Amino acid sequence: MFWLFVSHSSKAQTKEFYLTLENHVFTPSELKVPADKKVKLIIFNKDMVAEEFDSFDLNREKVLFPKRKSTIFIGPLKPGNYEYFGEYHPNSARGVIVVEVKDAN
Amino acid sequence: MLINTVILFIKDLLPIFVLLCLISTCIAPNRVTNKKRLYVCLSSVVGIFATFYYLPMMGELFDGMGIEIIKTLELGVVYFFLLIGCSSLLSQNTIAAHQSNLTIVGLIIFTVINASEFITFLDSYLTSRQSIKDVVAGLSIGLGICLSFSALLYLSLHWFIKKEFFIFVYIAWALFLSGQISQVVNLLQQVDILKSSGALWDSTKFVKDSSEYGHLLKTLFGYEASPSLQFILLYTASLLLFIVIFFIKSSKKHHCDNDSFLENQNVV
Repeated sequence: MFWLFVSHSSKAQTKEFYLTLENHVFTPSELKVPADKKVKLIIFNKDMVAEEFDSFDLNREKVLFPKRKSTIFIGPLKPGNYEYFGEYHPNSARGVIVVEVKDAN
Repeated sequence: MLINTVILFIKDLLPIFVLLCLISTCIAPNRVTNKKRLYVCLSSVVGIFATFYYLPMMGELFDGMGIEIIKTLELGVVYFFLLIGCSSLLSQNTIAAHQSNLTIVGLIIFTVINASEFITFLDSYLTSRQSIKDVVAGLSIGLGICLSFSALLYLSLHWFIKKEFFIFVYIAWALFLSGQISQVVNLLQQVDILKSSGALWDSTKFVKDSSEYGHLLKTLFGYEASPSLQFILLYTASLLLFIVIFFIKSSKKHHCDNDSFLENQNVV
């Protein structure tokens, strides 16, 4: 039961991926990550105002404070496209995480 | 921007309106003293702005996991305080002073958690000097929707109370609090404290998380279109806790009723 709940994989082994938010736009807008692996997403908000990273596909929601880096763990995921957006500026701040079978990036 | 303001208003502030309606079933609003009301309002306002101010610093704590850990602890406290408060419905007696105080503290913490997130959004819009007219219109529409929905909910809940269907009100409490506490699973999964697993099912075809209905159902009973195993386990555990308390309180009430009946018989 304990192993069902508590994450036990080494954080050092988790592959890191980077996103940047600038002028309410996420770059890269399409990020490729490997399937069936947990990955660490580091998001740097270069804007002067806060934004909220939100993804219904990934069940993730985190406030990105201005001029700060935020970390979110995602996965293990099945291959496919997982959309995310900035909740405060959903028209411009949008992107997709493409989960691929082969080892990405 | 207008639609976005309305959606965020509903998402962040509707749970507070729903909680106020639920609390009115345990604590009659006319029984709350003005001093206590003032205390609740002042504590909430101070808490909201203090949390908003310190939120970026809280985020840096525990290796960047600060907000998730603090919010999890806060939701845990809110859950248990309100659970104690709403259990007074089962005995159908006047709420005890400690239950009333715990309920009020739970309400303040819950208001602070939700409203501080909304203030962060407002600050982001107002700092970027975008159309204030749209934000004000969005706030007005959001407030209108929340007030209309709350009025309907309040009347429904009080109809149940009037008809002495306390169990239905208790079920509403159980679903609402289970939905709120289960949110900690997503919080802890995103900072890798809890293990992430795939979704058990996907009901996006029926009700999308992003839709208005999705937000409403999430507020009422924590609806998730694609919940994880851990989410469902916590939700079920919470409902079981409510059921256990229901049986304990019911058996106690039964014993009390029997005792008073016997006492009356002896007097006669």
